[in-house]
Amino acid sequence: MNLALDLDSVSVVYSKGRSEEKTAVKSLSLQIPEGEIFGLLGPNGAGKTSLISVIVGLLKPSEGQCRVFGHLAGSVEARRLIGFVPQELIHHGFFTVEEILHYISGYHGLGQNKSRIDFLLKKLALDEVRNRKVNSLSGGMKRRLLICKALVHSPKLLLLDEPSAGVDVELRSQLWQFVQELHDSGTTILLTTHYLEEAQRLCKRLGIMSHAKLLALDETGHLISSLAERYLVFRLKPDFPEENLRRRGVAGLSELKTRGEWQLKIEEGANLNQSLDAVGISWDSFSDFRIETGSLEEAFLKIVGGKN
Amino acid sequence: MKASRLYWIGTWFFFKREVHRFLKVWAQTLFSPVINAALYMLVFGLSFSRLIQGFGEVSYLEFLIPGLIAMSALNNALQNSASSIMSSKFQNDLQDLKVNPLSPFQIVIGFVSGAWVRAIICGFLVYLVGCVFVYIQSGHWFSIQSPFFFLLFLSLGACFFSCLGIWAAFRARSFDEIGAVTQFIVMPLIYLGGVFYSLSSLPEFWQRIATVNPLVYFINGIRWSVMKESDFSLELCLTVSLAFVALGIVLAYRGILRGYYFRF
Repeated sequence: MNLALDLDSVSVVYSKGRSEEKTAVKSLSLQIPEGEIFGLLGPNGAGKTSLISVIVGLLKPSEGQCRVFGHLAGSVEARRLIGFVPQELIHHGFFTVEEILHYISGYHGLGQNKSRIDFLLKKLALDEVRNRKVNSLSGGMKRRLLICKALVHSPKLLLLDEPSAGVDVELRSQLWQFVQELHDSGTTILLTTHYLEEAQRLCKRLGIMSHAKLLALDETGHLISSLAERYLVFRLKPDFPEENLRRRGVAGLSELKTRGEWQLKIEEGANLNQSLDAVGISWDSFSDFRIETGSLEEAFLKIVGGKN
Repeated sequence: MKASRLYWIGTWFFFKREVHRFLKVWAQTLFSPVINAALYMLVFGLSFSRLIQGFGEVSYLEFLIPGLIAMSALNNALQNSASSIMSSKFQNDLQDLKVNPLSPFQIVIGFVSGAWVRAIICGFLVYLVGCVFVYIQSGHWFSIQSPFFFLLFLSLGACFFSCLGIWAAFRARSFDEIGAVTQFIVMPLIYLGGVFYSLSSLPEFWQRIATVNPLVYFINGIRWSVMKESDFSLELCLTVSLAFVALGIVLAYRGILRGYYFRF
């Protein structure tokens, strides 16, 4: 298995004055195989951006080592293989969209890169503004330009630090579709996002960071099934006196009013029959039922909340 | 593709970007320094020339012009690097240098060569304006005795001041910090560097102090190449200038390695 990214006990400590220090990343180890799409989640200030800054070479780790396809992070060889979409917008006051992409191509040793630039501008719907100064673009356009910049040299590892922040719904959908296409073509992707449902849909594995530490690391499905709550969702037969249930207000039982369904939280290790008896419902009362697992958001809150 | 080819393409594109950047705002980067120099020539060279003694048989205006060429070129070399880096910090695109595969030495070459082009253009434009003023005053053209050494000293000075700009701007964490470097280091160097006077006209104590000012050697080298006369010998000017350029490159390199790349 070729590793695209190999983080070995990486720590990042910021000095704040002579005696004060802030640990942004604490002894974090993580391996991402080539071709994987990996999601790094965490609340604001968890240390995600500091970790990404180490990978792209913007920060040197205070301890530990980071390697990109075997090259030390920050080396020229590693930087040739990385495409980086930062969280903050960039303004480029002097240049047009096309000029910026032309120069970034040149930094990568690509003197002639017009066909790739044309492809990306069309793909990310920036073709019509290619001769406009970057300053005059909208926030969404600037965000797309950042993605073009990161992809202009066809990188093997793409780092997306909250790429969909401030992007409208339609564009966000196109963006994730494009990310999926890149992944299908073999690009390794590491992304951070606050849109958990998108991470759940796209990423094979997820890592959850909080307070400078990687608190959870697992395949997306496992992470959710092991941490999120499970529910028995059911529809009652028409002759069942639902009003009784409403009046009794049983703990863990709630009515999903929009769908005419009920859901009963399944406690860990609980016997389902006993749970139903306690509520006063039998299996015969159901016209329809299913077991549902909670969302990534629940798992996320459980991990992060537990830490807090 | 060979690594060396990638290296030089990257350096070439970074140089092109630097030149392109200052040409986009040519009125501010090329025209404004020429206006400044023209005003100095008008006020000091023409108006005060009867009151101020020249250098031997050379008029004060002709004495002044090499100094103004140097001042304009070197100051613009510094401003070019410094303003490019500072505006990049402000616009948050300085990270491009760290994220893309450019080595610190490529970055030094790119910034210095871009600043060199601006310095040479500014120096040449000030020279042309000087020719006009000299012709108006004396009826003859202002000539350069040794164009080779003129270009050499102008280039060395541009290189050193550009490096100084790189070092200062990479270390700066605010506009105030770069402003302090310009106001308290660069401007005194320029005004005490012999642009407007010969060092021989200073008291001995101040002459000794002036010898630690790198600008003195660049200006005297340029003045020698124009007039074949200066406060110091050509050899001394050349040796000290080369030493300061080497120091400047080391400073710039360290600035890039240890600099502050993030947005203000």
